[in-house]
Formats: sequence, C-alpha cells, structure tokens
Amino acid sequence: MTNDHRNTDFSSDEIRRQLRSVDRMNTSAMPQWRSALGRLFGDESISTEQRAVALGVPSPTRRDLFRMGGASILGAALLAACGDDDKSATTTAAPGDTVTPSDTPTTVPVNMDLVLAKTAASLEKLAVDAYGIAAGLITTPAILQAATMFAGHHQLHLDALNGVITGAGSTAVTEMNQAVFDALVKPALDAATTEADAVTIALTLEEAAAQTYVYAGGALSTPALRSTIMTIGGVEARHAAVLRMAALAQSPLDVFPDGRGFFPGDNPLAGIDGALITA
Amino acid sequence: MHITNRQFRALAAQVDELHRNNMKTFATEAADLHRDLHVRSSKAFKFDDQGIAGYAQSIELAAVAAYTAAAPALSAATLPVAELFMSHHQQHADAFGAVAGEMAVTAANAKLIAAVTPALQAITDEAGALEFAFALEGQAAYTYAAALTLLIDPAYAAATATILPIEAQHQVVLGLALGKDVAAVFPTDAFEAAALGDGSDPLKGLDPAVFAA
Repeated sequence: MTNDHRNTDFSSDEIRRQLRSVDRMNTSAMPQWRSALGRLFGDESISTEQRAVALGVPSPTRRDLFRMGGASILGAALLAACGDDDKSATTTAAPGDTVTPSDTPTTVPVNMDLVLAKTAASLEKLAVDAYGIAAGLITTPAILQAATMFAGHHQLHLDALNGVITGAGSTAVTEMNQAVFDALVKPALDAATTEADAVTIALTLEEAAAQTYVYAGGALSTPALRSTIMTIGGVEARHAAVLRMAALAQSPLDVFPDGRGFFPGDNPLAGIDGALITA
Repeated sequence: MHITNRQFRALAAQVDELHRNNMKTFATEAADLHRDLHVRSSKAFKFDDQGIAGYAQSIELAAVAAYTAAAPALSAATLPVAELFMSHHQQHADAFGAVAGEMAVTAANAKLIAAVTPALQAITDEAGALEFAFALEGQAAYTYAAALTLLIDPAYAAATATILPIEAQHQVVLGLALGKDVAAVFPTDAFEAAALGDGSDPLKGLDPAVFAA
C-alpha cells in the first residue's frame, strides 16, 4: 500500500500533543459540565426558556422543537426531565427526638469546609503512617493483609480529600495530624509490644476517624460535600468493625458498644489543641 | 518530522477511540444526571428533606419486616445479633419518622417488601438469611450516601450521617459471619457507593424513583 508510506505535512509529535490536550480538556470538562447543569437546573429562578438557551436547544414550548438534530436531543431530554414540576419546599420539619431541623439551611461558614477537609486529610495521612509503624508488631498474615488493605484505603481517601482541597485553591495535605499523633497515637505506640496493642491503636484511630466524618457529615456546607465525606466515613466504620471481629476476636455485639444504633457525631478532636488544620 | 498515512490513520483511530471512550463517560454522566433530574421532578415524590426522611423511614421499616421474616431461619447464636440489628432499624425508622412531618409513614415500604418477598421466601437456611441481609444492609448504606447528596438541612444530614456507618457495620458483621474474606466486606472498595438502582444491584442504593410510594 504505497499510500500508507506517503509523507504528509503533519508532525506526529504535534498531533499527539493535540490529542493529549483534547483528552485533558474533555476529562476536565465533563465533571464541570455536569456540575454546571446541576446548577442550571437547581436554580429555581431560571426559566425553561433560559435553560433551553443555555443548552443550545429549542425551547420545548416552541414549534422548532421538531427541527432538533440528534445532538440536541440530550439537552431537550434534560429540559423535559426538569419540566414544570413543583419545586421542593424549604424544610419545615417539626422538632423530633433525635433530629432538630436547623432554622437556616446552611450554618457553617464555607471556609470551615476547608478546615474540615484538611483535618480529615491529615487524619488519613496519620492512619497511613500509623498502619506502617504498627505493621512491625503484626505477625498474623491475615491481619497484616487487612492492615495493608486499610492503609491503601486511607491513601485513597487522602488522595480524594486532597482533590477537594486543591480544587478549592488550597495546598494538598502531605503531613499527618501531629496534634492527634502526639495526643493519642504516640503514647500508645511507645507502649505497644504486641499485635493486639497494634490492632487496638488502629481501632482507636479508625473509630476517631469515623466519628470525625460523621461530625463533618453534619457540619459541611453543601450536600455534595456531606455525601462525599460520608462515603469515606462509612468505610472507616467498616474498618473498625473488621478490626474488632477479625483481629481482636470480639463478638459482633461488641461492634456496637452499649448496643448503639447511631454512630457518635460529636467532634472527637474537640479536646485536642491543634487538631483542626486551619492553615 | 512527518508522518505516513498509516501513522495518520493510527492517530485518527486513537482520536476515534478517545471520542468513543469519552462518549461512554458522557452517556453515563448524562444518564445519571437525567435520572437525578427525573427523580427530582417527580410529582409523586416530594424530594425535600421531609420527603427523604419519610422515604428512609419506610425503608427502615421494611428492613425490620425483612429481619422478622428471616428470623426463623437463624440459629440461637445468631438470633441476638439479628434482633439487635432489627432494633437499630426500628430506632432509625423512629428517628426519621419524627422529622418527616406530613411525609411520615405508618408502614414498611410496600414496593420494597414486594421486591424482596421472593428472595425472602426462598430462604431455607441461616446462610441464605444472612446473605439476604448482607445485601440489604449494603443497599441501605448506599441509599443514605445518595440521600446526603439531596438533604438541604444540615440537621437532617447530621442525623443521616450517624445512621449510614451503622448500616455499613451491619453489613461487615453479616459478611464476616458468612465467612467472607475481608475484601468482600468492602463491596464498593474504599468508598461507599452513592449510586441508586432498582434494587437488583447490591452495589447501589434503593432509588426512591422505584420504591417511593
């Protein structure tokens, strides 16, 4: 195939650069696209006509709807999905036994989000480091394997939190929470001599981390952040349950001290000076 | 530097593959968004905090009913654990019901009960009962992770955040009791799922668009 060897004026390096650039642009644009649409359809004050303009599709109320091309179908489908539905009402729930609805939808300053995210990230780094240190005392292969897996989870959590942090224009957290290490972990590590000691340290950290996330789950300023943080918090609670049952041979009932049906949601770091990462 | 037509075709194929791959993502994103918007616009379900609390209450009551139905298959050693979990679900139902206002319910979620009845009726031994509960507890946890994306009032979110880890721990206990390995009690790996489904996927929460009355 002689044509295959015919030279052209394209630089392959340049094309590859362009391809990579397109890929990067697409990868970064898709989440923003979704977020933008979420905002577009979440704002009650934006009319269907305005949404149609923003999406670049004809308004469903207009006759030129029938002239839509395939590329416009999705936008129109989104409009149709939003439609003229009744908008969700402001929360007016009556006070209950365990939940007291807030007077205002948002009670925490937005910059507190960054404090909580950085603090959580510093705890994740602490967990990664602590598992690394404690591993020296763990002799049971299955427990060591679990500890290694949990350390991997914590690294993933750290990465995810740093994504949020850098996305907010701040610097990624790379150091463990020194205040919590000094107050809780170091004394226990210094005294630890057995595998059970090491697992107990890990359990303490996991339960503190889970509780921190539950606290943050009610304190962060947006639903998206609250959900994100609890997709991590639930896993920390799972870690704790595994450590109790599989590593410390406790009863299933011991996973729920005093039979508790609700995970504690008060701030476990409140009494530790410097535990909140504000810088 | 210049390229041949063959190289150019290869690069074009890369572009095409990129495009196709990105369209896959696009389709998934669009489908998720479409579902979210459809759910939010549903006239049949009030998607405010009270509506979500009422829905959660109905799911918790369904969990109580499911444990009750599965209890005869459990051994004396396992029954106390199931009873504890059942009491947790009743407490969760009470907590949600207390703040659901006019959206509070008085009965278990009928659609969920109908959906799980065949599986419940097929339970013949303890392992079957535990496996059923294992999946249901995971779906409950994922449902709450999804609910947190919608709850506006931080107080509702805070309460939901105290419940999600308990459901997750239930699943761990059940999984270990079944003899599953440690990795298996993290069905969605390092993060709880926040996706919703029609109940057939154990790795997704229970979609109100499917199960809400």
